[in-house]
Amino acid sequence: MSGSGPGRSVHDPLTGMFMAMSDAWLAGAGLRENMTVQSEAGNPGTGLLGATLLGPMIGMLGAMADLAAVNRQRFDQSSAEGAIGSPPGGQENSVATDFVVPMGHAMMIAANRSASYWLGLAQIFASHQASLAQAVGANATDGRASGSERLLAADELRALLREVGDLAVREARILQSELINLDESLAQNLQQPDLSGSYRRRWRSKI
Amino acid sequence: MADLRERIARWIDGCSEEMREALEWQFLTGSKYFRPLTIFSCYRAVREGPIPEQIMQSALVIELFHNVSLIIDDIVDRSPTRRGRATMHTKFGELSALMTSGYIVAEGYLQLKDDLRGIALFSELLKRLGVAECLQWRLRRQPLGVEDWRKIAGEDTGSMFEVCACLGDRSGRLRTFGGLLGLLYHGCDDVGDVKGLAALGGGGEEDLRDGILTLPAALAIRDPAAAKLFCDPEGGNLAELGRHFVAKLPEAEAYLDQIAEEGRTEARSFAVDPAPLIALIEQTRQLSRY
Repeated sequence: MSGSGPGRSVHDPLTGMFMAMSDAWLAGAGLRENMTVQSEAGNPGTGLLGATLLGPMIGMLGAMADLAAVNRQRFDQSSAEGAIGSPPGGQENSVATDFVVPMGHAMMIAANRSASYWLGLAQIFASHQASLAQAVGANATDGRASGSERLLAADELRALLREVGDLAVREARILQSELINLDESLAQNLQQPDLSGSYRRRWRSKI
Repeated sequence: MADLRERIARWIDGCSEEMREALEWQFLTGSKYFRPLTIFSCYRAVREGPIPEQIMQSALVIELFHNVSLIIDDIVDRSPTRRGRATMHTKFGELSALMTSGYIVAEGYLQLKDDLRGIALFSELLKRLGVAECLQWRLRRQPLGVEDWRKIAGEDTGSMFEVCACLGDRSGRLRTFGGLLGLLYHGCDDVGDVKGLAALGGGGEEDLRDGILTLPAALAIRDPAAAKLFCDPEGGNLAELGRHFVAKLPEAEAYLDQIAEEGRTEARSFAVDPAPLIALIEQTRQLSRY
């Protein structure tokens, strides 16, 4: 998966990720500067927004996916090694397994949620597109929509806004929940093995 | 549920003799115990093993508070019957019904003992129910939309089921699920009323007469002719307005299907075992389909 397709880097996944972030940041800064200049000249120029940011954003998602895939591989490997005993290499390897692998796992979770959010957003816009276009069209044709037409258009728009807000909250809650689970499993992995059962961490909080 | 029924009977036995007849009239027949069922299902969705005492206590108190809301609703709506028999104020008089309501609330809080989180949740419920009823009354006969219906229903029945979900799973992760279940219940009730059903315990004549914003009403008044009838302060041609509502039933059912799907997604995303929650959604969704 690494190094192929749009936004894939020829560097190692971590460097690729940082370079993609840097590209996205530079594109955003450039766009902002451009919009300020155009706005001062009386031309908002917002049509460029999607085209200018789309490439770097795809690049960043690709780099995140590469890093997540590599870390997933390491995570699977370390789990398999853990099952047959500690690998030779000692403390250094253990630090990598304890911290780098969960970090990669966390980034994979974040990348998944990010993709899920954008997909959900696209679905919401698709489901409202026809009715909103109709409402805006009716207004634009003669500029004199009736009271009930305006109420209907407002109701549609309010539904769209609510759904976008609900989606953001739901995805954030899922992200939080997945990170809490990762946090718990990390804490359990670091736990001293000689503790007796009654002192072991609880997997879930009490009610 | 048998355990809960027994607890309610024992609780009535321990109440003042003056109140006992009215309490037996209100509690010992016809309840569907859907709110306690929601608490149990939310508990089951996140935990295994026997139902703990705190959850049983919460189930008892939610049934008490739900009945308080029914008694008050019946007085305000001037409803002579509920579940096929006389309402409490019809049978015992308004003063007795109002005083019994206060008595039940006080008893409910006593039953919660030292469950501070439960006390906070029940306080939230009573406050939100009060606000929702005032809001619904203030906004009657106004040309509002489905989003307004969603807000009112979310605070009314939605708050009841949100609290049920939080009582069953004290982490609060199922709160949104509870809100959606309440919204679905409220919408099914609205649709059932227009269909003239008794399955949900009430008729729709009062809402039609008072210009209350139900789901079929919110959809129907997008048509200016229906909006004019709905907003008429004299409450003129109710039969014609009713026909507008009936015409919107398929759209209302489709909207309820969407809410049901939102509920299922929420259950799958946040429950350890979503099966009991999805069963609640299916059971509720059937209420407008009899």
